[in-house]
Amino acid sequence: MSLELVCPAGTPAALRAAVDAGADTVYCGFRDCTNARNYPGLNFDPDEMAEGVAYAHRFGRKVLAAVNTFPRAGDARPWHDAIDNAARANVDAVILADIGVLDYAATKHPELRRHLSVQASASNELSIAYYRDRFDIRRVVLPRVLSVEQVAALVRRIGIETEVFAFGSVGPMSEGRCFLSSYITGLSPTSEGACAPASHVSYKEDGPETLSRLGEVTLNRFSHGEPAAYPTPCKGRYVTHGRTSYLFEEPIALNAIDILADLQAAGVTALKIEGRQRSRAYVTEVVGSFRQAIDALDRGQGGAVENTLASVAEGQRQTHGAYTKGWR
Amino acid sequence: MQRSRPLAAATLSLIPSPVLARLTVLLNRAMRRRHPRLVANFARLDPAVVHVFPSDLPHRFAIEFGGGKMDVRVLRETGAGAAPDAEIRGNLMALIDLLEGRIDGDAMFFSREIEITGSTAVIVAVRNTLDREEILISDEIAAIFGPLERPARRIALRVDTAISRARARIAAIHARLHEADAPARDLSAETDALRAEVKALKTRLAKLDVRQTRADSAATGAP
Repeated sequence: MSLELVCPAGTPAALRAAVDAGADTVYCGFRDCTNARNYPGLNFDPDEMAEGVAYAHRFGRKVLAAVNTFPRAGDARPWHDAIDNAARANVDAVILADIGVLDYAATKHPELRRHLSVQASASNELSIAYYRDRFDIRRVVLPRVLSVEQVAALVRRIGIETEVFAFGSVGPMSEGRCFLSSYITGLSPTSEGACAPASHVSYKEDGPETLSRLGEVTLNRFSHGEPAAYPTPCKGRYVTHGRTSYLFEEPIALNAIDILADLQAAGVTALKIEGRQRSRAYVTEVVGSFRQAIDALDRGQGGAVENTLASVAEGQRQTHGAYTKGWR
Repeated sequence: MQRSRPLAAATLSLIPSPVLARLTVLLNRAMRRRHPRLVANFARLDPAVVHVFPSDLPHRFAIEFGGGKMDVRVLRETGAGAAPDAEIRGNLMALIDLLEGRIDGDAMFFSREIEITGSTAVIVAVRNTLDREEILISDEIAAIFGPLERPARRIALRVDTAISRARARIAAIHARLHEADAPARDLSAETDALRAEVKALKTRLAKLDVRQTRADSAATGAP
């Protein structure tokens, strides 16, 4: 069975670009704190979501709505509205993380298909089985911490579809539980929907170098000509034991385009491209490349497509991440 | 997909400021007529002013938006007026490609092809709002001509093709003449990188040795 290509869209134009470039499915979010890419000028209002769904359905493609942040205490209304608006827009599924939101969706819209977001950070059989049995989730988006062998083992045991990341940013391995950004900005990525919110990011020239800062904290310095990166705390350079290094994660992009056959053999249902905050040019380029690679795989010519995605990769560098890492 | 060719850069660099200011007013009108949703999306943002500095043009532009309005104008003098909330710098073709959603803004920023200063939130909002709309600058400029739009577009295409060819020829000649000026490799940085890589590999090898020794010990029962 062919791998399903699930692609990001931060804007209606990006949704159309993803469909035109060959996405099987497009995921997007509303213009508020209910999704994990809540950046200014990004995302969809309810009318735009309905128009986007209609466009995708016209070409036989699907749209998923991400409602994958965690409600603030005593203020679940935006999340409930997002679920209601997604159902009204006729989306094909909602991507959820919080058990309260999962419960609301399962109760109010039982016919609406539910996927478990990577933000829920469910990476083992017991955890996934809980969401499957309690909320009837049909698909789990696996965190970027598993090797291909571990993915295969999970697929055999959990009895629901799996979606894995194939391209994009590499997270700090604690998705949905990371508070590094909130320590500096006071804004929680899990409730406000933005890690390192743009309102707190600045760049400052410092002689021959550029400093990237989050709030009052300098997270990195780049010499001219050296590729820069968006300053999230997990990708800052820190001094430990007298040595400066990327302590948590390096600015590097996950790219699994040349191990798609392994992921397919592992029983994966769908490949997710990360990057709703990126432009429609990024969407067109990455989706087009993966469309070609999947089509080649389906023709029995896996690996025949050249990897040309370095220019849109974070830090212009790429990795297989945990899929082939031996550290676990 | 069509592309706004170098005509825009060539034309803009030749037009005197007062004429360009008038054309910008007409362009604003055309944008309101042809892209009402884009204008509405800018108008709903928080009020801000962004200055755009095409590095290969004598002109500077200001985009003012938010609080129910959106306006693009030519700046009369660099540094005149109130300080902007943010500034974008880069060569005109890169900026046009960015405006038309042809290239990824993050990739351009990460590779330092464009530079931004000031409020990142404002820049992100501008980038995302522009990216919501499919715009072709050559179409917008042609739309200014009203009933003469089609002949203007045909002439523009011919001029564009001629300029592209001329530019390619000049670039090739320039490259041949200045081969010796190619930047020297930073051998010091390369050496540092290789040294760090060797160190990491040594550490990894040592860990593997320890693991192997433990495995051997476990297999033989040795302490």
